[in-house]
Amino acid sequence: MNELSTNSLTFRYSHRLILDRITMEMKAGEVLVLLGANGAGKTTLLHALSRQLLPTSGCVALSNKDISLFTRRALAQNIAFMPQYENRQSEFTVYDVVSLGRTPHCGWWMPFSTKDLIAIDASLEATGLSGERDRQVTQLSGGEWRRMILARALAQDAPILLLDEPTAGLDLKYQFDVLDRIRRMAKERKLVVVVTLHDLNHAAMFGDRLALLAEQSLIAIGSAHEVLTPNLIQRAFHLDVTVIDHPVYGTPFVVPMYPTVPKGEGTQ
Amino acid sequence: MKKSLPHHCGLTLLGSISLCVIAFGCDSQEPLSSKPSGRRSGETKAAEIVLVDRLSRTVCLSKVPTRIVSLAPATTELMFAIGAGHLLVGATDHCNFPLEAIKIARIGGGTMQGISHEIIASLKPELILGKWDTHQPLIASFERIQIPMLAIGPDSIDQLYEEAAILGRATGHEAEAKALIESMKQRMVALTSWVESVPMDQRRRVFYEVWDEPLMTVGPKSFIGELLEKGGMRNIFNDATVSYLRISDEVLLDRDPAVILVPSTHRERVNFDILSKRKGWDRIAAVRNKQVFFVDGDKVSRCGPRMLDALEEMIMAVYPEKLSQGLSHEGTVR
Amino acid sequence: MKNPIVMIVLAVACLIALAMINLVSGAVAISATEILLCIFGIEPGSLSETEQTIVLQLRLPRVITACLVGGSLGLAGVGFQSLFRNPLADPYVIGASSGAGLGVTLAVVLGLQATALGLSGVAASAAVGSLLAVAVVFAMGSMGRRNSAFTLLLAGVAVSSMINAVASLLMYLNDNSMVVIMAWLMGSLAANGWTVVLATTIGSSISYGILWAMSRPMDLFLLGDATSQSLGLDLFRFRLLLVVASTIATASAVAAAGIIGFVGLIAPHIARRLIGPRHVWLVPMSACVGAAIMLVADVVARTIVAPAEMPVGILTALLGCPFFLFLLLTRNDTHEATR
Repeated sequence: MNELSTNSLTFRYSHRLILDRITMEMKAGEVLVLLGANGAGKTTLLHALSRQLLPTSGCVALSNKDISLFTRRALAQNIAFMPQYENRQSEFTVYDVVSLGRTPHCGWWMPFSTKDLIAIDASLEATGLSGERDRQVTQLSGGEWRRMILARALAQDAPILLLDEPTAGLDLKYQFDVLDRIRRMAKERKLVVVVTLHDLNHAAMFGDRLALLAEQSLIAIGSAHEVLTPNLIQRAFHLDVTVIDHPVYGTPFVVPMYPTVPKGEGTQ
Repeated sequence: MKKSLPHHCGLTLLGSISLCVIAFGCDSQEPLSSKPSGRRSGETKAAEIVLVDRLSRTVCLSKVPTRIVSLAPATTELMFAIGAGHLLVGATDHCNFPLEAIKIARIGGGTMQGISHEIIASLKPELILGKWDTHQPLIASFERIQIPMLAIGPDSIDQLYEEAAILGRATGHEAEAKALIESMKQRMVALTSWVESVPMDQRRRVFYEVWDEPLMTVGPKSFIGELLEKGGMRNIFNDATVSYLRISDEVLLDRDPAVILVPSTHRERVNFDILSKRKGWDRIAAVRNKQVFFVDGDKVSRCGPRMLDALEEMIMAVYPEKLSQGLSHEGTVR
Repeated sequence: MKNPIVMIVLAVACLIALAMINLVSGAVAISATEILLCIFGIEPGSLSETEQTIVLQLRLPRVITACLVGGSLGLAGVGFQSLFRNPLADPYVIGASSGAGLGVTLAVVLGLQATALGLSGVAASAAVGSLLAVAVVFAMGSMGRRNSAFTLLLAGVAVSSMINAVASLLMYLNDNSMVVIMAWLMGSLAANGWTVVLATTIGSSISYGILWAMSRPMDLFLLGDATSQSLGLDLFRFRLLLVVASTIATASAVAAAGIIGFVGLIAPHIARRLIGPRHVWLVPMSACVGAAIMLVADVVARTIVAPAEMPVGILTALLGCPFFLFLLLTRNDTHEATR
């Protein structure tokens, strides 16, 4: 029922073509990972999906209705967007920020209902922030801050979740932790999840489908095995890699062909 | 820009003949200007005194006021000059002339924000004499508590005579006011008859320095410009359309005045030495010949009854030969 | 954190106490009990007629105007600081003061100055000038492709410079009116009566209502354009309402008391220190703080050089600034460290 799709989505930024006729579909209960080199248009695509940017042509459809026909509030009830950065210089507490996730449901001035309060508590719980609710945002570590805005996106309780680099700047443990939470949410709540990631192996582990952006368009979309091939990776990242099977899970495992100076050389 | 204005000068100086433009503007706004309650309050009682002030407002008084507050030093001086000084129950901190004025209760500094409404109200005045420009916003607030206010403040010699007559009628000192006007007019004739005989081409070219930073002077439409003309001096900025204008040193050097007049109000900051050291000023004829004179600032910048003293001072400074011929002092207003 | 409701109650109690001090102090000595009896009409006979006039027609409206003007400036400050996410924004940041200046100049030059209806013609033109100037700035700032707070700020700087230039030109060409214009622009709390109180009350109430109702979007907006948009905020509508509400507050303050600096800048900061960043508490608190600053400044202005008075704007800066610096320097700096 809740499906997000793009139809021939094209985006130009002052005559520079960023995205060229992207057509794809995203399904409920599925984690779609957007991959691509820096500047390939991952964030632009995510912004277009959440109507932060208006496409030059083509459209994004939510349940077969163009998202530009929704009011901002109605859209926010359906699509939650977790940005890579936002203003952190406020004196809000974690609870303040997470509770703002309920704004699309309670509007500008209605006080929170019991349902809102339950949703806020649940998302704090789900991100392991229950004990941090009264801390100031400015005192959080990078990882805690990411979990907090994830909690806010969850509190928004939207069937579609768009996440821009949710693991950036996190400790290794939290990278897996966050991705695992996201995947669990997607399955439990039947969410449409679109994530941009940098790490190809993370993508292989947590994505149901992978989409590879390069040369302004979608050069591949499909399972990890279909997308993570040395050829496609060379095309998208200009990087020579070997792809082996993950020794434990059997998913593709990307090994870059580095260093160019083999170990042991030059040490006599 | 606003801060560098000569404040005490500015208050009294910045008004001019082109005031009639504003007065005319008021007339054309007849429906608006008919609204002030000064007129209304007069209609209910049998008004004995009907006065028209500088804003073309009609102020009606049911009887001769015995308690009057003056909001300007020049007004205070004028009140004393027509013998109505004893009616004043309140005056500003700057009302220092004549000596009796110092004893009057003070109501504050005299600017819009510097006066105390409460003190004025507690003095129970029957009339307030305010300046038409600086005190304009006060009219409404005093009308609200049923104290009529007359908006006055002359910007020319003729207006000074007019306002002396208005105050005379307001205070029941019409005869004294008339006598004052007469004697001032006579003295004016005495002062100017000699200079009038000076042929145009022999009249001295004068620069009047209103303020030094920025350098400001007067145009012919200003009150001081009028005094210069009456005193037989040729204002080197006679072609100015603005009453008080900023000028550059360059223009001043080009016009090369024979005499420079400076009011004492900024004598603390300017004396002959400082003046002559200004860039290029040593080339001005007035500076070379030491023809720089200081005029009593209180007299010249308050358009009041002592204005003729100022005129006399200026004539004496510019035409010292007149002094040697002996100047008649009859009709001096003190 | 301290309970915000308690803080608001405390602030209102402080305000009432300050208002009482203001009522009691003045150039003419009248006792507190007599003033109260007079105001509540219980025993008006104990005061002379003049004293009654002083209390009811001069002091009381002045105290209330001071509260309203300070409160409005506090509100406008919160509004504009939120709009620009910039702690240096004040009620005049996008041209309200230059608009008021041009309004007054035009009114005086065109000869509106003699009207004396409730809000005088000139005061009303000041308010209208503020509103129009901000409307022009907003229209300009929203026209471009990049409809951001930054564009609005730049448009504000440009438009208000131009308006200032036009006003200065008019003043130069009519230099005999300059003193009149300055007298109106400097303004004075003392010149106001009950009609002005009514007009200012209406203006500041509308503004308060809108701003308070927008407290959640204002919280949200603080997090950034992208975030607030993705959480359902229609940025254009939000900015428009915020500008309208803040400018109504500014305009009513300007109409009642001329341009008073600093209150609108520091009241929100002080309020934020006292009650935290959430606008649902910040909006009322900032109004209270603004009103309190004005009351303190006014009582000092009336007593320090009695019987003369001081321009209240001088004192708002003189008294507000040290307090503001104290709060600034004593705050816990934890978030600077993690920046």
